[in-house]
Amino acid sequence: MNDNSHSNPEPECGEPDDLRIRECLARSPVEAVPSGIELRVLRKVKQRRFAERAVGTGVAAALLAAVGIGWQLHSPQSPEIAGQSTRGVQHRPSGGEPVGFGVNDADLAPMAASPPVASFALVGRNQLALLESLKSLVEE
Amino acid sequence: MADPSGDDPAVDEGLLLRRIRRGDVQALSLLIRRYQQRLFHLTLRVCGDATLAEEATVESFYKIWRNARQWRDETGPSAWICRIAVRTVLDLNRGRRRWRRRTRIAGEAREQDSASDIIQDLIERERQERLTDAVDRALAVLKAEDRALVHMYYFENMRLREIAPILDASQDALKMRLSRARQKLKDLLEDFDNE
Repeated sequence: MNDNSHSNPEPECGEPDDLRIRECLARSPVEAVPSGIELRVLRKVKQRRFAERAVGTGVAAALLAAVGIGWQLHSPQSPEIAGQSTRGVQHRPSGGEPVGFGVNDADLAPMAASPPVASFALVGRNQLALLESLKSLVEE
Repeated sequence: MADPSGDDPAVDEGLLLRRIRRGDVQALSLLIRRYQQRLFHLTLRVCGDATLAEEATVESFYKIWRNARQWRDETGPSAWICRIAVRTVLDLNRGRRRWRRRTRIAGEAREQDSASDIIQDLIERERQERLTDAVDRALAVLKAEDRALVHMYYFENMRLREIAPILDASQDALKMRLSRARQKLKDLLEDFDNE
């Protein structure tokens, strides 16, 4: 890159003026490079890595939670948990839609006939909304 | 003897970029030490402001870190790095109408042995200041892209075929631009040269 010497200018542009301009520009003082450039770059890199890890950890935790919920809802070996979720967690303030993570009997009914394979169709509306938001988070 | 900066000249930039791709921060440090002076001078020549040039240099290295995966082996690492720096400083410089220069002169003051040395030194300094002014005035009339071209061609002694990929232009186009820039520089530096 810098292997070209002053006495070997670009042949097609090597006009006599070139040498004079070169000489004049070469004599102008060289500016000092500010200290701390490396430090500033490395700080930015560190901040980015930290942010990436934080997001990665958050997404991983959210996915684990989602998988856990899905597993809970679909596992045929834990009817008592399913029962708990309908009896204990479910809350119907005004006889409308279930609130929180509770599921109702209608949600659980298809599980008896289906294998324990994760299927969004079987998950209650609230869980579906949660999974949708997680999906968009992962896509981001 | 080993380089105290830890920069092994045998390690080429291509290897450093490949290591940076894999997230090697130490390789980034080496690249910064190797290129910071060059990128700072290049960006300073384009924008004429040391603060902005420093910002552009930092941003350039950060972009190199983030985009190292986009570098292809067939593109020379040096050209790729300079290209990022030129684009960064042009982006940062956009909107600034006036080109100005804040110079920080490198080097330490020499010790003078005698009065004649002091006088000689003052004369030399005065001449240097006038030269700096003349160069500044000459460069100020050029477009930012052309200042980058002039810097790489005249200050770094790069060839047009090396500059072409950095400025995204053909060698013929660069030849034309350089010819116009040369004419302007020649006219403006003539006054100084004749003194």
